[in-house]
Amino acid sequence: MARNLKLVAEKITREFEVKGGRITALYNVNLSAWEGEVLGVLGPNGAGKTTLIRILSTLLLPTSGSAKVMGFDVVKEPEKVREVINMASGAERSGYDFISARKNLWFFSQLYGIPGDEANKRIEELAEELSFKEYLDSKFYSLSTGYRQRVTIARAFINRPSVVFLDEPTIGLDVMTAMSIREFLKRKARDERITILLATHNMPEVEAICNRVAIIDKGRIIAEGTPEALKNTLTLCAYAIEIKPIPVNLGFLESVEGIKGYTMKADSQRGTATLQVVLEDEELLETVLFFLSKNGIRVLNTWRKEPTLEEVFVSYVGRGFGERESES
Amino acid sequence: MKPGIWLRVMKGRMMVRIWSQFGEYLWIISNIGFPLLTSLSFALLYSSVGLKSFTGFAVLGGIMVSFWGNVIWSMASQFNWDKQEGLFEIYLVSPAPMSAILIGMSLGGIIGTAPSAVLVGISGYLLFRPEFSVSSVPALILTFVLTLASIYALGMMLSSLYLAYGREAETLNEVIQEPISMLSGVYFPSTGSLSPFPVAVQVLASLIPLTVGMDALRKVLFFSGDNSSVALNEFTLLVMAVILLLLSLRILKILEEKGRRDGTLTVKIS
Amino acid sequence: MNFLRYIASSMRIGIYHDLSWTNPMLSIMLRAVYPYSSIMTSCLIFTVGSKAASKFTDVGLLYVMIGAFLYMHFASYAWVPTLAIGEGKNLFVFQYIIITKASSKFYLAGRTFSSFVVSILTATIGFILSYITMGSIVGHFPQLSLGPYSVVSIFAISLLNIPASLGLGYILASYALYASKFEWALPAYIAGMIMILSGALFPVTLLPYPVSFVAQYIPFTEFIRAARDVLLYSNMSDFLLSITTGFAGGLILLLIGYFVYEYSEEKARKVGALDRRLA
Repeated sequence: MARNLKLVAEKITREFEVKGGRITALYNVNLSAWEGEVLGVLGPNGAGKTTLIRILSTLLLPTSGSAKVMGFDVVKEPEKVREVINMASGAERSGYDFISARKNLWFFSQLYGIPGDEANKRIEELAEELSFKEYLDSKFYSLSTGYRQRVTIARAFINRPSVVFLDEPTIGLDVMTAMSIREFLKRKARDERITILLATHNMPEVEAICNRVAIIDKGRIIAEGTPEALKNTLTLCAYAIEIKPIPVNLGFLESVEGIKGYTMKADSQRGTATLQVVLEDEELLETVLFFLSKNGIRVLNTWRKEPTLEEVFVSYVGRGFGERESES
Repeated sequence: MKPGIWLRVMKGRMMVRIWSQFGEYLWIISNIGFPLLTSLSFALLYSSVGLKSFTGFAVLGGIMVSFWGNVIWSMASQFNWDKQEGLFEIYLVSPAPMSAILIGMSLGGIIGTAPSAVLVGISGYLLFRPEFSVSSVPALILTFVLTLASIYALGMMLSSLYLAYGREAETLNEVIQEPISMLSGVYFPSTGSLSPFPVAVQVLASLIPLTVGMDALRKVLFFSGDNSSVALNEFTLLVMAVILLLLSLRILKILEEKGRRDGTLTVKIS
Repeated sequence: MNFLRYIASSMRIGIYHDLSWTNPMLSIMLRAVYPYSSIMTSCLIFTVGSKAASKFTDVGLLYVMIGAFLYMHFASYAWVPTLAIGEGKNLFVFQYIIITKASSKFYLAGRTFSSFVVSILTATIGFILSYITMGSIVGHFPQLSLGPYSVVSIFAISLLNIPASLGLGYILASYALYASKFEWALPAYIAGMIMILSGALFPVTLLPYPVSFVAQYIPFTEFIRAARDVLLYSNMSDFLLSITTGFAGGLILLLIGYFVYEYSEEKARKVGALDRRLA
């Protein structure tokens, strides 16, 4: 079966005027997505994911570069693009409080001119698929966060869009709700050939549902490929080292040649931290342990890690998501 | 654009309003409080100076203030609230025509406010029994419809304009609500021989659709006016409604383009 | 004396909330537009009506102007606890105030005091501008008993009314603690009722019995009457009687409000309404 390219972004750059100058939110971003593909855009908060979605969904103009959705130019033909897309964000409220979920969805279907019967049928189908049928007639304000988000996701698919942009759609949701939404998205892409661009900083989510992933940092796409391919390119080795006490500063590691990057997660309750290091050579581990000990840090445990997307990110950027977010 | 989408969007937005208002009877009860008690106060004020015949002005004012309040708080500030809640961007990324959304919002607002306005009118009538002198019901209906059309068109324009603002839009709303209500003579004639204002202020007040509408409504309700005596008012209201509607769509387009350029269409920026 | 610190910091937040969205002076001027327009509307209705009935008098005009001025001032800050709770619940601030050792009653009192400061400024500006505008409309400036003594007296009235407004504020806030929606509706009704019952625009004797009897003893009625005694009739003995009665009534209202609020807070904890977002 011939595959169709549904979304193409070429050299997208976006700058914002801020007090005291300009900031570049996106720089020379190239991206493409195929029919029925779930493309993950993975990056820490502030990396430029939302800006990218806003440009592709016609809400924001790029400073330079171009993008096409279903062959329509997002800059010059926003009206045509809007016919074939939809979007949802985990941060939005996305509904009128005093009317039911069903009526909210019916209203949003009317924004696309869907005839009443067809809209009602579609609402029933989506409610069934996202398991909120019993809440369809509940007032929107009375729904829990999880059910509101199910309604929000249903809204994004109400017009049978060809391309859907989702910005952190499962943020703040419990594991079961997040899982059911992920399953739904996978089915939509697979069965209805809908292209989904999923912006997230949730790595397990990307690994669970994305066919391909583009890793973004500071407005630049730094790597792109299937999650497996990206992990396989990691010829480096990753280690997890449990240490005590929690170090204030790990700057000394930067002077060690051969360390491609590191990230640390602290467990303040236990007073320990897990340091993840990506090394060019496994023999460098000894050197890392030596430096830790030299700086008064006790090593409790060490083990080799299967590479994850986080290690991929660390190997490219030299830092983990957490550190990147606190830097920006 | 898909055929029929304009009507569907208009109906959709109208129904949201109607469902919201009628789905919560408390809305109706809540909305009556301020216009009812204010008009009662002013009717009593008229009575206190021994002018019972003017109590009808206060009751009519109460009815129209219900709609004016709806224009200010549910029309003018609506897009701004939608923007803050993340709903406005859903409109924008859809092919829905903004004119249909604005008109649907207005029609829904009028229908949703009608019960409150009727209750205010009935209560005022039962309490004060003001004297009406209606000689032409068609003139009354036409004047009423055109008044609502023009004030809701003003609401549409403000709604578009407020997109350029953040939280301060609410304060601006508060700032304009009462002066417009005062200048347009909701509770007393602000133009014509009974007006307390000097001519220059009367001319200024006549630029507000509510003034023209209230003046015409008083003529047909209390002074036996027919279509010929309010023809100028009706024509002015019609022109104002059309101009304000076109202006609101133009402002919306300009602000949308500016918003896409500057990144101000949505609240969050990352 | 920690409660003073709580009240002071809440006042500060309230002042920021009311004025800091733009230049404070501009903010004050913009906020004065509402009381100015409202006072003007009442005066204009009186002028139109009384002139048509050939009963226009300066005293009548000032009677309405003074009443409308104090009504605007009293009513505007009695709303504040309700607004503070509604906004606080939606911004997830209110529950954090509840769980601190500072009582939310002090928070609401601080917010009320800050609103009092803003309101006395804006209502006074509205009154002065209305006086000037109405003077130019009727062609002369009606005679007010203005002097340092009367200005101080009006300020005293305004201060002595605080317990009454705060007490009413607590009672309205008790409702806001439970409300899941339309928390603003009750204050709107109460504000409208006060307009009628306080004799702000017309003598309460115009109201049917027993409403007129009850209305006479509402603290707001007493304070508006006191203001007219000072500014209009120069009647100091009646003034003193009115403010004493008004203040005593205000203290009773405050006491009732305080206990109603305390009871409601406890009940709201039981039903889980304290941190429920409003629709």
